[in-house]
Amino acid sequence: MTGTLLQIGRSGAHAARAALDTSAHNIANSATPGYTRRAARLSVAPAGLNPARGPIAGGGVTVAGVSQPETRFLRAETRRADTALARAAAELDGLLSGEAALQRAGLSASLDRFEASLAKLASAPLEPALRLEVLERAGAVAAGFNAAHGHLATAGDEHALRIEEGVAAANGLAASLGELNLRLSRSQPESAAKATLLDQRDALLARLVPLTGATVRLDAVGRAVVQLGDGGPLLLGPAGAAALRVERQSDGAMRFLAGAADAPGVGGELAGREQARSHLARAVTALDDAARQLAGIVNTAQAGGATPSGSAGAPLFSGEDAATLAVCLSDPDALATAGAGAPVRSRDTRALDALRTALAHSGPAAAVDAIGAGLAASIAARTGTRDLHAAFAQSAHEALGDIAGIDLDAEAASLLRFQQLFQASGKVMQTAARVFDSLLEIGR
Amino acid sequence: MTAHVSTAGMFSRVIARMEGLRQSAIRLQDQVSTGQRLQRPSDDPAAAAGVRQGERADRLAEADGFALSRAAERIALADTALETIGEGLLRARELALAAASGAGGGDARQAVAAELMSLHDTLLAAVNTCDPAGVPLFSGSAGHRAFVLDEEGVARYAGDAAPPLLRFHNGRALAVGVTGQDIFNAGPAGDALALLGRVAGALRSDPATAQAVAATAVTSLDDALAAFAQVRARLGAMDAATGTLRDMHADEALARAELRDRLGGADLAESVARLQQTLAALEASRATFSRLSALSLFDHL
Repeated sequence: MTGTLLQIGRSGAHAARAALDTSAHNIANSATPGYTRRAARLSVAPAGLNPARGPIAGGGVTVAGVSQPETRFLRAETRRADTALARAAAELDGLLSGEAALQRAGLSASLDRFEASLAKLASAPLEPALRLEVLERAGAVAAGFNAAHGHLATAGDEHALRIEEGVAAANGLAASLGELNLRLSRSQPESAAKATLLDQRDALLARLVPLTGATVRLDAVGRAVVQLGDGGPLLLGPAGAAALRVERQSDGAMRFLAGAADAPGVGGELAGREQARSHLARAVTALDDAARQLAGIVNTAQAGGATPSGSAGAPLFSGEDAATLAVCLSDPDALATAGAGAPVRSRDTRALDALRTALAHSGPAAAVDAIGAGLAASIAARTGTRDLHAAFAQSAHEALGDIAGIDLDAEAASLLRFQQLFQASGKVMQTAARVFDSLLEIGR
Repeated sequence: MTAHVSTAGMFSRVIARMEGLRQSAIRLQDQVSTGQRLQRPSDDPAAAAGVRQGERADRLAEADGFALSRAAERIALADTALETIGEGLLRARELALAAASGAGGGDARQAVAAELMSLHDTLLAAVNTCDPAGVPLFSGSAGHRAFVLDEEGVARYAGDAAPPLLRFHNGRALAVGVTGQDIFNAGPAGDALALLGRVAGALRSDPATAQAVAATAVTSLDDALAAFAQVRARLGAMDAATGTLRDMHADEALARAELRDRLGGADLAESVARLQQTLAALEASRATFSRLSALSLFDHL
């Protein structure tokens, strides 16, 4: 009988030790990212049968395993919110870099100053200083177009590069998940090792899903199957992984492939970056159009006008697009200000007036402003979307953190509780010893 | 729904809220220090478009101001030249009148002829006046002098009829200056400058017809003076118009500046008040957070 009592006391002390260890582990990991709270799951030990006394209450307590709170749905919710946020943030990032690129180039101001220099020249069309100023301003406009094109193209390239890096990262994450799946299928249920594996799996999924917008299914053992979109190709199936690939098309677009097939279901950050890249590419196209428009208007006015020496003007701008736009006149006397057929050294300004009118109304300055205004409007609209998704994501993370995270006060309370359990179990063992001693006394 | 709040969650929540407050404080601080509400066009696309239009109008208006002050200088120079020409024409009429009366003898006629010739040269010089940049004032849009002497020594107008037209960015246009043709060729008798040469020549070499020629010239010069008065009046009107335009441009610039301020400028009082409010909230949340985080059950273990 005393043997049973000692056994029960010992099981209580053992359970208390295990629970105290678990709390200590929780406290130690209270700031570890991706750590899910553990609890020692206690269960009643099966009662034996004491042949001398008949049935007894039970055999004490056993530590059945390490349990973790159920977070499957909260995690799925968090991943969904993170995916939407990653996509919106990446797209906004691209638009912002486009806006900054245009602002840095200062193209609108250069175009204004070029037009202003033409207006000044109209007041004294033969004055060399004013003619030189026009050439200088034209050079600044060309430089502005070159710079804006360069900044926008660099920003677009950066996004294309980050898509390629993201694809490589996604494949790495999928491969790691594949290994984890194997280890999960071999692990003991409710073991501390399995809890660690599950934490690692969730950490990998929390990176992979927002990156690719994939959907995740978990089996009973906790193994993950990762699929692109709904019913899309499997990024990580039960039989292994299909590599995600990306190809740059001739028009600069990025095409996603899984294995050999198209991967239309790519979402998340990768899709956001592709959208950002296409926004930037559209801005570059519009900028090229504006550059061609400018060169066309100016060169037409030059050809239709007369220089001070009476000849028709040569083209002022050369180049096919914003990147190659350049000033190809160096002689200020080659500017055609007078109308065609005007006499030598005429102060007539018909060609100049026609040029100014063509530039002022729906000219290149308006086109460049429209690019900036379009970007600004998109940014303003998408900033709202991004903030909304950020708020959703934050509340999802908070909800998950409240379930999965550590509450130090609760851990302190459970330390007290299991400390008392340990002390009480000690008392039980002490009592068993006393009973045994008493029995020995009787026999003496 | 949840019974407890995780400790890490409490910290991250507080950090996120304080970060938000700190960012809005920085934004307000930027607004106060720059006086600009818009740091990027996307902060308020509609207002930014308005500000951008204002900036463009400012740059173009600056060029308009340059052209306008150039025009005003030229008009002032032209006015001085016209004053000389007006005095010369009056004096020429007096001389023609004296010659027409036939008073005095051949010497007097020769003296009148000499003075008329010198008046002719003075008027020719005045009408060929250039501005400091060397651009003739009265040749229309031609780059050379207004009047040139032909092989017979007769002054002929060599410019064109087009008065230079200044166009401004807001669609206004202003004709600036008058042509030599307007000044001397306005009367029905034709070129007043050539007329002076003809009278002087007749006085000098043809005493028989000189008196009659001088008498016709008086009538022609009366016509020329009447036309000239109109030309001067036109120049005076242009002078007044440049002044009016300059005032209008200044008013418009002021209106644009006000509009830009309203669209893109920060309301200093409001920004400062909101900055204070944000800083107070930030300080309060710091204080409460440190009180809250100081509470721990571990003190009681």
